[in-house]
Order: sequence, then structure tokens, then C-alpha cells
Amino acid sequence: MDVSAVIVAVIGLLGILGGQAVSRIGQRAELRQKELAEKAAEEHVRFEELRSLLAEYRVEHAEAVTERLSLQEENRKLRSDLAAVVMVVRDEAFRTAAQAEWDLPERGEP
Amino acid sequence: MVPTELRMTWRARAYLVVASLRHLILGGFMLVDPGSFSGPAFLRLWTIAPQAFWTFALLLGGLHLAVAASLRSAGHARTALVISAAVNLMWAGAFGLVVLDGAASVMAVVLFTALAAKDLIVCAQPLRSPFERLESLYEPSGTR
Repeated sequence: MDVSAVIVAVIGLLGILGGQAVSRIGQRAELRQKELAEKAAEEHVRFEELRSLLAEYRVEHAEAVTERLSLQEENRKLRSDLAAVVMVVRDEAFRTAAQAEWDLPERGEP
Repeated sequence: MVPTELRMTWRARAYLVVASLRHLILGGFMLVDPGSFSGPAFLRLWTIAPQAFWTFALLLGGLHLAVAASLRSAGHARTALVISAAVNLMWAGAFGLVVLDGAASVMAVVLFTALAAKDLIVCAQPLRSPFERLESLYEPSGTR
């Protein structure tokens, strides 16, 4: 057998051995990537849950804001009504007090 | 049906298809028209190993690469890539010996060594990426 053929065969053998070695590196990287992907998938599920929760909170927040505005409007109306009542009562009290003073007998009268 | 996360990436498949075509075309020409490889460098090469051996190695390696790309099998792909790298290194080594005889330039040595290095680099990387499914979830449609 030609020495050149032996050299080429040895090179081929080294190529196969080297290829197997780097192939194992690739397989390990693939496994590692799979583990990372599983973690990422779990995080993705958690992320989707949080996003769903956030959407619910946003709806609740919008409802709370609407309710607060409604209560503020109601409060404003009640204050307005109360102010009107106070004005009426105060006017009536002044009127009654003035009438009572008017009706008092003057000093020295029987 | 292979689960999406276990499917081979399109990059790996594309590389396998290109490598397969390279082997099959070269091997096919050697089979159909062996006389076209009659330069001084090739004649010296056939003394190192017969032309039939190279033809057989190229065609078998090319078929294996095509099967691996078709089946999306990482195991077959790695074996085929290792065989491809070994064949390329043997070509590089054989041409290197021809260069020492002064019958050829170093171009073929450089090219075949580079091809073998590319095969080994691809072999050292994951051929299946489970992240592609997640990426497609986050990326807007039509960007991939």
C-alpha cells in the first residue's frame, strides 16, 4: 500500500474522531438549549398569567375610576342640596328671631 | 408528526442540503464522466486512492446528508457531517500530497480544509433549536 494512501486514511480517521468530539459538544449544547427553552417556556406561561392578571386589574381599575367619578358627582349634588337646605333653615331662623324680637314688648310697656 | 420544538432548524437543513448537493454533484460527475478528472493532480490523487473510492464516498455522503435533511434527524445529520468533514479532510490531505509533488497549487487544500472546518463548526452547534418556537410566539407574523 502506498504511504500516501496511509497518510490520507489517517487524516480521514482523525477527521472522524475530531468530528465525533465536536459532535458531542453540539449534542451537549443542544441539551443545554433544551433545558433553557423549558425554563423559558415556564417563564412564558408565568408571563401570560401575569399579563392576564394585569388585564383584569386594568378592568377593575377602570370600573373603580368610573365609580369614583359617579360618587364624586353624587357628593357634589348632595353638597348642593345641603347648602340649599342650610340657606332655607338659616333664613327661617333669622326670620323667626327677627319676628320674636319684633314681638317683644318695649321696656316699660305692660 | 415531530413536535415543533424538536424539529431541525431551517438553517441546519439548508446547510445539509447545500452540503448534500456539493457531494452529489461532484460524485455524480465522477460517476457519469470519470474521464473529465484526468488532470495531473487528479491522476496523482487516483494513485493515493482509486477514483471509485472517492466517487463512492462522495455519493454515499451526499445521500446521507440528503436523508438527514429530509428526516430532520439530528443523529443522521451529525454522522453525515462527520463523514463529510472526514472526506473533505482526506481530499485536502490528498491534494496536500499532490502539492508536495509539485503537481497542483494549494488552492484545493485550502478550500477542502475550509469546507471540513465548516462541517465541524456546524456539527459543534445545536442542529435543533427549541427556541425557534418561542421566537415565533414573540415575533410578529410575517417577519420570519
